[in-house]
Formats: sequence, structure tokens, C-alpha cells
Amino acid sequence: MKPCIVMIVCALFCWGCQPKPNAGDLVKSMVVTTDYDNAANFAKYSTYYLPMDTISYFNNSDPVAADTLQCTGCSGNNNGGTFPQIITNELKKQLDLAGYTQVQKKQSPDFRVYVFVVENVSVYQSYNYYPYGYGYGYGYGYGYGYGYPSVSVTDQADLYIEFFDLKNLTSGKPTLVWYCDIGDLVTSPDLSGLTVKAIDQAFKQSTYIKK
Amino acid sequence: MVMVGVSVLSLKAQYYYDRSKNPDHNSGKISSPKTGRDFDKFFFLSWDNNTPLSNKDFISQSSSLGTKFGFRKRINEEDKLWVGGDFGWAVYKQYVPTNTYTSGTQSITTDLYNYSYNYSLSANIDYFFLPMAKIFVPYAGLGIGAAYDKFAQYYNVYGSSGTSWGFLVRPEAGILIGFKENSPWRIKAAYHYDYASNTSTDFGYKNFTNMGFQVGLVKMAW
Repeated sequence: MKPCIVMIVCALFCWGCQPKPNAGDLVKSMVVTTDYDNAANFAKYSTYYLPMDTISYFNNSDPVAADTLQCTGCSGNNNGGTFPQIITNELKKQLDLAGYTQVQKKQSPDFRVYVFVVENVSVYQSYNYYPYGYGYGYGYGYGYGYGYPSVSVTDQADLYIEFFDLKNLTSGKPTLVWYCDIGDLVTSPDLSGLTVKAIDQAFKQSTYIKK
Repeated sequence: MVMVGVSVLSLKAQYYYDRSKNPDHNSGKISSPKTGRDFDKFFFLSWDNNTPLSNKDFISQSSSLGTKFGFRKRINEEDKLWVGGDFGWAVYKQYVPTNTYTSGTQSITTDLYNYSYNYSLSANIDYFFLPMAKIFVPYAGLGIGAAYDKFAQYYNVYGSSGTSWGFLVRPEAGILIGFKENSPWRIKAAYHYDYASNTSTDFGYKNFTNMGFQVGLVKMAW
């Protein structure tokens, strides 16, 4: 009987034993995803508009559902430090290498580069409640017991880069012709370095982006 | 009265002389006398090393992260046929370096950690070629049962997974090695081949086959 009990316990232990990769190894490089509109002709574009010191930032835990700005010159909680400029500098470098020319918004650029970060914070709380307890004395009793809460928090942020065609509109609105998703920013051990590397990779796997 | 007694005695003598009516049903063969305990069951716990033979583009690397435990019970007096069950657990993993995957207009660049968590439960029958009292007892066996696989792919903080049930067939050949004759503790070493019908369309996985080698400890019981 005892060996059977040992076997059952071992089986239950094995059932829950599912090792996963080391967290540090998982985040040593970011995931870069790109997609494009195959009707767009990137060779026909010449100029682009890219604000250099601001990027948009959305956080689902923000009670005001509007984008806030991260900028190098801002004060207060929206100050993103040098991170926005690191992103925009690298974007400009890659776009210039592709043969495009940066212009101001009022100079009627062919396409606009829109950069934003979306951060998603999830908090999950459960309450474990076992209502029965044992009495003491001459027999068993039951009554209300104590429960305990269990909380888990996940935080994840992705960097999005989008190109909008300002000349060829769709339903009167700029047309999305290229999209890039880079993540995760929160767990990255070297946020600036790996983000720059990821932006370079985005252009490397988008060889159609050239004049 | 004497004649009845003699008749009864002669009938009894005839009963035991005619081996076809022998209640032991040993067909005239006399079992080898056993010394010590008459072990009729055993339990074992093994370390299991496996190598996948199919779907190698998902995982091709051998796995040393596995275990198998089970029991056997003798079903005849000749120490030949033993039946029982096994529970097996193995984890396969494979790292795929950073690569760019393109499908239509979409491209994704990432490294991948492919994992396969395998569980099996089988009913087994083993045939032992020598009496269990010997020090070296080779055997051959067959297990039939069910296999449960969980496939998972991890990349950065993202991941995806899928599960699959399947039918399992596992032939096996090995040896029990005792520390002395009729030893209560033994070493088990065996090779096995597994075929499972588990399939996952999400991961492009069809039928899981592998070869493995297990080494473990056996505890005899009665």
C-alpha cells in the first residue's frame, strides 16, 4: 500500500512539474514584428515627418483614456528622459539611409512616422476562503474560517512605429502603410541598447522601405 | 468397510498418479525450488533519457529530464509473466536562435524556446526469460495506454501552447540485476521505443515517436 501512495504522490508532483526557460535568457533580445500594405509603393515616397523629441504613451491604468506625451523637455511625471530621443534618432538614421528626407509638418511630407508606447498593467487578485474549521472539546464542529488574498501583477509595454501615407488617403484619412511592434520594454535588461537594435532589425526585415 | 477404505485409497492414489488431474496444473514439470522470499510483485523508479525520432523541426534534442515509475505483479508461478502499469514523465526542450520568419506581408524576428511536456500511463506485460531468483534476469515487455502532451513555445515574455491526447504503444527490453540471488533490491536497465498518436495542428506536430533508455531501482515485494 505504501509504495502505491508514494507512486501517486510522485505522479501528482510530476503532473505539475513543467519547467520553463530562464527569465533572463528569454528577455535578452526583443521580438520585432512588422507588416506592410502591399499596395503601397515605398519607392515613390521622398519626404517624411517625424517629431524628434516626443512620443505618445498610453497606459491602461491611467484613468484618463487619452495619450500623454513623453518628451525630453517635459517636467513632471511625463518626462520620459532620453528614451524618446533615442528612438527618434535611430528612426531618422534608418529613414535617411533608406533615401528619404525629413521635413517639417507644414512642408507637405509624403508620409508621417507615428511612434507610441502602450503599457498594459494587469492586477489579478483572488481570495482563498475555506469556511470550515474544527471545533474542540468532545467532537467536531464547524464554523467560519479565515481566508487569505493572493495577488499577481503583470506589466508589459510594447513600442509601436507606424507610417501613414499622407498623399494617398483612405476614406479621407491617412493610410497606414507600415507597422512595427517591438516588445517587451518593461523586462528588458538594456532598454536603450536593445530598442535601438530592434529598430535596426525592423528595417533590416523590411527591405522594401527604400526610395 | 476395509474394501471401501481400500477403494478410497486407491482412488486417491490414482488421482495423484494421473498428472492430468493434478491440482497444481504444472503439466508434469516441477518448479525450481526457491530459496528466501517468494517475491510476486515489484515497484520501480527510473531515470529516463529520451531521444525524439519524429517532428525534429520542432524538437530534435535528446532529453535527460524524465522519469518512469511503475509496478509489476506475477500472474503465474513460473516467474515468466508479470503485469502492471507505468507512469512516465519527460520534458523535451529546444532553443532556436534568433531568426526572421515571414508569411505574406508579415515578418517576425525572435529566438524561440520550444518545449514538449509528455505524460504517459500504460498497462504493461513483461516476459522474464529466467526465474526472478537469478541475479541477471532479462525481459521483454509491451505497454499500451494513453499519452498526454503539452507543446509550448516561449519567446521573450510571450508564448503559446497547445495540448493533445493520444494512444500509446511502448515495446521494451531490459534486464533486472540483483545484488545477490533473489535480491529484494535490484537495478533495472531497459531500452524502450514509444509511439504515440498525439497530434497538434497549431505546432505542426503529428505522431510523437521516441527511443529511450531508463535506469532505476527496483524494490521486490510479496
